Amino acid sequence: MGSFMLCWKKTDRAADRNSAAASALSVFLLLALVLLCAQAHASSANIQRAHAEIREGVVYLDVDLKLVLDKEMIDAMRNAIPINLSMISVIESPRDWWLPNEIASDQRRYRLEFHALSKTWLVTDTLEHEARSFSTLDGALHSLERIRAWPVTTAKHLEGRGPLVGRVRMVLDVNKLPLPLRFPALFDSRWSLNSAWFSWTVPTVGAADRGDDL
Amino acid sequence: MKFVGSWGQIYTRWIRRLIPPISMMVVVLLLILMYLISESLQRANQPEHLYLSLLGLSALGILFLAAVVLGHIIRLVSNYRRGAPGARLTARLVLTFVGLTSIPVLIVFYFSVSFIQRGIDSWFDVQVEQAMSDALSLSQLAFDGQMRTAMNETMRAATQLKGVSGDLVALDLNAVRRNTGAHEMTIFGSRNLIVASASDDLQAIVPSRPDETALSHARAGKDFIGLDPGGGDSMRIRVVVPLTAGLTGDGSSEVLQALYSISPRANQLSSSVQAAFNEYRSLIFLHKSLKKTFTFALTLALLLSLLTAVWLAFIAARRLLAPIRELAAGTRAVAEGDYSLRLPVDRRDDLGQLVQSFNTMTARVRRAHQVMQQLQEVADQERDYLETVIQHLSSGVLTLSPDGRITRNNSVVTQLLSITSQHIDGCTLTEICQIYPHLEPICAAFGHLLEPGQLPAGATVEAQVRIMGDAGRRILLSRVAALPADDVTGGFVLVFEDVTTLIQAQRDAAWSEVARRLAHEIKNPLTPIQLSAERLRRRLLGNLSDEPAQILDRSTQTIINQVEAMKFMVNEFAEYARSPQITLKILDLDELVSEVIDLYKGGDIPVLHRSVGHPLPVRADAGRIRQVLHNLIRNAQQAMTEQGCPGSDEPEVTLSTGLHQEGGLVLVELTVTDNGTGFPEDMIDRLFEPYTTTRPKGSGLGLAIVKKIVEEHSGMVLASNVQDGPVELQSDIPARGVATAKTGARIVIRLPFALPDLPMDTNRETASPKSSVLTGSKEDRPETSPADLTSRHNAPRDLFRRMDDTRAESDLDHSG
Repeated sequence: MGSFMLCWKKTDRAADRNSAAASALSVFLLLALVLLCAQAHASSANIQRAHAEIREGVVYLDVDLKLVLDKEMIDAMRNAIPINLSMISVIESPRDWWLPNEIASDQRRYRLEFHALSKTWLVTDTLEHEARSFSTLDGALHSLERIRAWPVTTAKHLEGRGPLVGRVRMVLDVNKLPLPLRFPALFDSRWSLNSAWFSWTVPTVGAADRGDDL
Repeated sequence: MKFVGSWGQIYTRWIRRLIPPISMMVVVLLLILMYLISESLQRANQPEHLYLSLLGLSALGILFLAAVVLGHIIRLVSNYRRGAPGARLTARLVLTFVGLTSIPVLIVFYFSVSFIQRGIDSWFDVQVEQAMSDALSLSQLAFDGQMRTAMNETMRAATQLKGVSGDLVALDLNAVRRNTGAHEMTIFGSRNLIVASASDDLQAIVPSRPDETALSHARAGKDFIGLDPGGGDSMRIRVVVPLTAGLTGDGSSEVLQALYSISPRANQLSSSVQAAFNEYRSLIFLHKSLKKTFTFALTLALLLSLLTAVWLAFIAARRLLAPIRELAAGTRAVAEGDYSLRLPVDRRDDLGQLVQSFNTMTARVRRAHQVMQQLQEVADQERDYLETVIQHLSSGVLTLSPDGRITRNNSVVTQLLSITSQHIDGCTLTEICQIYPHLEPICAAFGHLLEPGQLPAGATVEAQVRIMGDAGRRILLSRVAALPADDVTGGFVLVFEDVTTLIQAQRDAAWSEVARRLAHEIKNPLTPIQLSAERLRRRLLGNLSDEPAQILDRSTQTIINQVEAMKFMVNEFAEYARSPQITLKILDLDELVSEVIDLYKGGDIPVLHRSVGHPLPVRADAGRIRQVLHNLIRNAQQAMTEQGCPGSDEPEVTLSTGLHQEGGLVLVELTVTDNGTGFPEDMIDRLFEPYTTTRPKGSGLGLAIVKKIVEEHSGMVLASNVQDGPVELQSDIPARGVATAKTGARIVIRLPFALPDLPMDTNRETASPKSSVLTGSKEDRPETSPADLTSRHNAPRDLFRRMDDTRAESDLDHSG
């Protein structure tokens, strides 16, 4: 009987341990699920292709990217909160043991918003003051995902610089968000619309590419 | 290591000093930042980067403050664990301060957060929200009429343009546009290329393009109409209709887009409605974030308050407890015996007075300690002095602990008891007696008194103990005393005094007195008795018959013989008691012995002389020494005649002369040995006392007289038995004759070696037994140079060397 009790106690303890392990596992799984869900709903911007060519002495850049907006972000836009995006292009000369030397940089700024009265999506190039309306969000996003003939710099500016590297990225301009959203947007994956730097090949400048020859 | 040391110095010297003012500046800065954040939350028109920059700076400041507080806490915990002075009090004070400040701050925080939550929620109302939606719908409805008109007009224009060939379309399009009232009209061909476009804005170069949705609608044969917000504040109505009827959306058909302007008033109103709608919608969307933001700002303020409170609590505790910490360190130093510490008095409050009192107390303790040290030194000196005195006492002293173990002894005690001091430290008396069996009488006398409670404190017990040591039998006057119980150590003290010589002297003096009185009282009546007996014999012997005559003859003869015997005895007594003036001269003992032995030549018992072959000068009275030799030889012969000789050996008496060295002193030694039965063991220590004899007819004065004469010559006499083998107990001279003697009696006489050039005290009285020839006062002797003295001291040693050489070369001279 004694041994049975002992064994029973042991079993009880083992059961306790098992239940504790089970609860720990369930908590872990729950956390993993939450993280996974958060990851699934996160916004993202990925640059898939960038190509530059020199035409008439100007370096034009074509960029294809993929934008995925989180429901929270779409909800915010539907509630009259515009999203400001910046496309940043940099041409650098790499240096040994030091940060690369920036040769040229350019920026394009877009604002994406929902127009409640017309129920259209509006994409505005804030630097060029050009606005285009779209009936659907996909149409608006598609227009942002395809950037063509972006004049980043002149060919003359790149002449004699040696080997150069071009980089491009898209960032969400947090400081243009309403104040209460700025701090959360820094750490919230639903608002993380910053892409990684994408390197593109800077075309070699030939004699025909110089603008002054034309 | 050097770097670490220098870094530690820099930290101590600068950083620790700079941290408090820097922290204070950070706190002020944080307060300003808090104010700015609060302001930026209220204002809309602020620089874009200001808010996040303010937050970042605040976070940095709070992190710095948290690091400072954490450093304080770590140091406090470390000090607390180490038991550093003031650490517990600091911890208590800090906790009190923090408790006092944090409770009201937390209460305010709680109510502020609640107020913010409720306050922001109260901004919104369902009815207002509905009203806003309705206003927007109303605005949209307001454009419906215009949109229908625009659709009809565009469809009519499309109908007009259907029949027009490709080249003429561009010409007709502007006329059609004008008829319809459209702002801009564009025909898109295959692949959405612009076929023709007409606009009333002559500056517009690129016509507005519809989005893909509208185009695909039109190409599918459906009409599209919608409001186009455009870029600025002017909205337009966009209509897209198919231009070629019956064609499917394969990209080859053409579509017509017409844009119609809306009146500025309608634009303004719709923009106003939309702006209000947008603002309200955004507020509704942001209200949760807004609550979080306000709570976050409040939390920052709370953190700032708490950290500042904790930091100030540490600073205040440090300031407040600095003198207490110094006092605690000072007290610890005093407890460890450092009385030289003096704390700085730099405040005039109660703590300052406390420090002052501490300094006074320390000074007094230091003085008392110095006095105590001086007293200790005096006590040590006295103890050393006492130790020195004890070491130089002629008595042997032993001190014992209460449990009977020996704690201290002087050098005399080891000499008296014939023991070595390293064997007795820490031993009990019983243990010593086990190591040294000859001390058994002492244990028997005092062993039981050393038991606890046997001897009351202060009591003294005295006993005369006889022990046999290296130097022969000793009589020790021993005394044990129990030290007072209130003494530091308690225990016992044992004192031994060698009274052997004293008792011997007393005994000799007593016997001399007895002998003198006997001689005086008995000798006087003896002559009349003898004369009377002779007269009776002479007068009556011839007149009496045979029988009475025989009786008279025998009786008178007996009287005369006994009187003669008595006279002889009385003369011997008189001789013993006599203290004649002796005449000391330097004479050769060897020669004197030879002269005396010559008288015994031809006797029944031969007398042998073993000489070293060198003169042995002694300062002596020749007649007295001769008497000594006669007494000893006769004594030996008579003893052997009466008691016989053990074994088959022929009885013989041997006189050996030689030199003996003892404690740096050279003595001339004369040994008289027989091969008889020897002295009875129980009589050896009393052998030289009067009336001590083994012979029935002996007077017992022979050896007593010998001793008396020898001591008159500053010599000493010893008696012992010759045991088996050539064991020379008292003489250093190896003797072939002695080697044959198995048993026998031996008497050794030692006289001081006389140096020929020393002045002689020719008329000396009886010398002290202890006096030596070389010990005399300086006044008794003429001045001699150190070189002379050295040569005198070296003379006996040279003689020793020569003796040794001679022994090696020649046999002993046997005479007699």
